[in-house]
Amino acid sequence: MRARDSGMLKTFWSLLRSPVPPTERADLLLALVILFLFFLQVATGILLAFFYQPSPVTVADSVQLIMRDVDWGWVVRGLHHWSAHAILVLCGFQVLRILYLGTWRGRASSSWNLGLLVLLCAILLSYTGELLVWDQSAFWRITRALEQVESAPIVGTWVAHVLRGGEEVSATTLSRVFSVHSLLLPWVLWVLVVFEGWFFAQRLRVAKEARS
Amino acid sequence: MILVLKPGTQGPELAEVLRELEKRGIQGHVLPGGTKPLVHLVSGPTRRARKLLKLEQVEALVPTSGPRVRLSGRRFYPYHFTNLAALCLVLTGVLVLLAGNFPPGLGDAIDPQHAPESLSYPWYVRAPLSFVALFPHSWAWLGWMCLYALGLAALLMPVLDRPGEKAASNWPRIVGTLVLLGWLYLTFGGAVR
Repeated sequence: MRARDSGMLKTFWSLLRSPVPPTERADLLLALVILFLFFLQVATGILLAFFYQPSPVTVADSVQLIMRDVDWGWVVRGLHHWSAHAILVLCGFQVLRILYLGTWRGRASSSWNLGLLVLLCAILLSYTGELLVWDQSAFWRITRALEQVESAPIVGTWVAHVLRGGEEVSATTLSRVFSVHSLLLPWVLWVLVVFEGWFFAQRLRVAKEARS
Repeated sequence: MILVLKPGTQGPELAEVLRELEKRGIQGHVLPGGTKPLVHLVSGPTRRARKLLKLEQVEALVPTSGPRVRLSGRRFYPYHFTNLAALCLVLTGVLVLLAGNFPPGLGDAIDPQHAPESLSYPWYVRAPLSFVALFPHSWAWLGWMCLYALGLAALLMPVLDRPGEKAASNWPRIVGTLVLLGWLYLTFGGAVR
């Protein structure tokens, strides 16, 4: 029995060989490029986490170590940094594309909502990532940002207090920002990506049934 | 390249297809006989004829060489997969170049007593922070409320602009363009840099 004929592999193979309607081609390719960049972020993030130490005393040394002493460390950190910017640009482009093509009206209304949530999540991921170098600029940026967040009604004070981990920005803040960046937000983003993929498959199925 | 039309396509429907071809600068003529009407595309930018697959009358596009493009589209593997792999490879190359030429830096050591004279924020958060900064400090909550409302309105757009209307409204595009222009202005010219 060939491997291709067995269970999940067969489903995967048939999915891989499915025809893509010309109307969905651009959406699919854009979404898959964003997914590729997301995987690149995860892979480079895991590699960086091997050496990064989220403690105010050692953080600078660990970043220096990654950039100077670890083989290809500068490439991994650079890729992580620039792919985050690329994700933001592509997510923004995808949202604008849906807006100007007007596809939020019908078949792609879920893409519009999920696209906005993915963009928001990517912004939060990038911003928390920028703070992890924990230098003078990052310290004061998070201090000012949390002051601004505190002025936001309803959830502002609570969010600022939870992230800060006390009255002042400290080692706890760095630890919490690291947790949010590396544990919470990637999973939220992954759930959104799975939903997006599921809705896209539904759209393709409906289009196929309508044709047949 | 040959355009295969649905059986029974004739008269004004056929004329519409020919008009669309003419609009794209493609010359073609209808082939006589057969159960399905066929249009032979003889000259002009025939690659543009792919867009005609969106027309109801068109069933398929058969190139004289290469794979057949059906209305249902090309298979993901190998056609789109190859394009995607090439695109990702190029993108990775560009990112490595950026990483080499513009490596993310590491700033000065933290001084919790003295804030730096100028504090730069990443480009993607400048707009919302600049927007909130437009309001006096005691009214900052109003700025955040406006941002919440904008986000909520954006999420609810498929409900606010209901589908199925006879003429699709254009207001979301206009509002979206205004928000985009405002966003760009606040990013590059706002109070927070």
